[in-house]
Amino acid sequence: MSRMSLREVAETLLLLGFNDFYGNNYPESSIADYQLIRQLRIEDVIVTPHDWLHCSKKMIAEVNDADTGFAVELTVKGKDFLKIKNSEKDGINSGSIKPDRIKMTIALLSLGYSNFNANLAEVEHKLTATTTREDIISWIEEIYDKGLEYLEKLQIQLSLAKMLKV
Amino acid sequence: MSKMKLAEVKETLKMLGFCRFYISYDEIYGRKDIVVEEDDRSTGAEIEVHITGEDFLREGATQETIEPDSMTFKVMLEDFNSVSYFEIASKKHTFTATTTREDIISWLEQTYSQGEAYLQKLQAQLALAKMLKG
Repeated sequence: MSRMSLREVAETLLLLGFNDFYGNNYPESSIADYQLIRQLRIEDVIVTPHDWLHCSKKMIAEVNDADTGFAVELTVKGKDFLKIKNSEKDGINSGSIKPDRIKMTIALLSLGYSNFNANLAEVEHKLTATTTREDIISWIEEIYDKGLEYLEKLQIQLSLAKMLKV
Repeated sequence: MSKMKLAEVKETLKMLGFCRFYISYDEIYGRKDIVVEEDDRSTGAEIEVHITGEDFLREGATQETIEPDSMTFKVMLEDFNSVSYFEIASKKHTFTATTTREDIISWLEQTYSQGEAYLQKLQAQLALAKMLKG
């Protein structure tokens, strides 16, 4: 049994409503590539060009939920992302790439700011040969729970601070 | 009846445990703000109090003569990674001739309550987001 392919992972995320796929660390000179990749979506290309700093390629699936005020960011990473030609549609086959990790983050829209600037939870999971779509779905649920737990902790801390101060 | 003096406001804040006072100068608006900041590491909450007053700039002004115009209370909380703080409450209050120490204490309490309400709202929103997604 082999690991899930990038296409499978992306399809699972799409199923869960994550539909804003994009690559990270695009060089400024390749805005056109960036736009192209955004348009192509998962069936064609979802892999980023080279990350010069970390020598890794990533796929980021992000959902910004303006109604609820939260952003959930999923970063899919894999060593074999590097085998792919940089930002060219031809030669990229998301079915053959097997991601090894997926990082999930919940960010919060701070009061008075328009950007997501505070993390409530962050977890990285390894994709193994036995990882299934159900595992990914349960990880998503887990990250929301972690975010809720952190908010509860903050609520207790704030009540304590108020009690000590006034 | 005159407005509270800066010295009196600072004393009230000191009584409430605020002990780090510093002055920030806003070059754009040509305004001096007194920023009172309190970091509470044990609770993870940071309270910032900004006191502003036009006569802060007046030649010869002292803490005993300055009458602050307004006070802004902010509540900041640490994010999960301890990398940054995010704001959960902010309110500006104006000093009038009838403002008392008790008013300042109640403003602080109001700010905490505002922060608590905002956190409750966030919890409800996140629970809803989870329900919609999971």
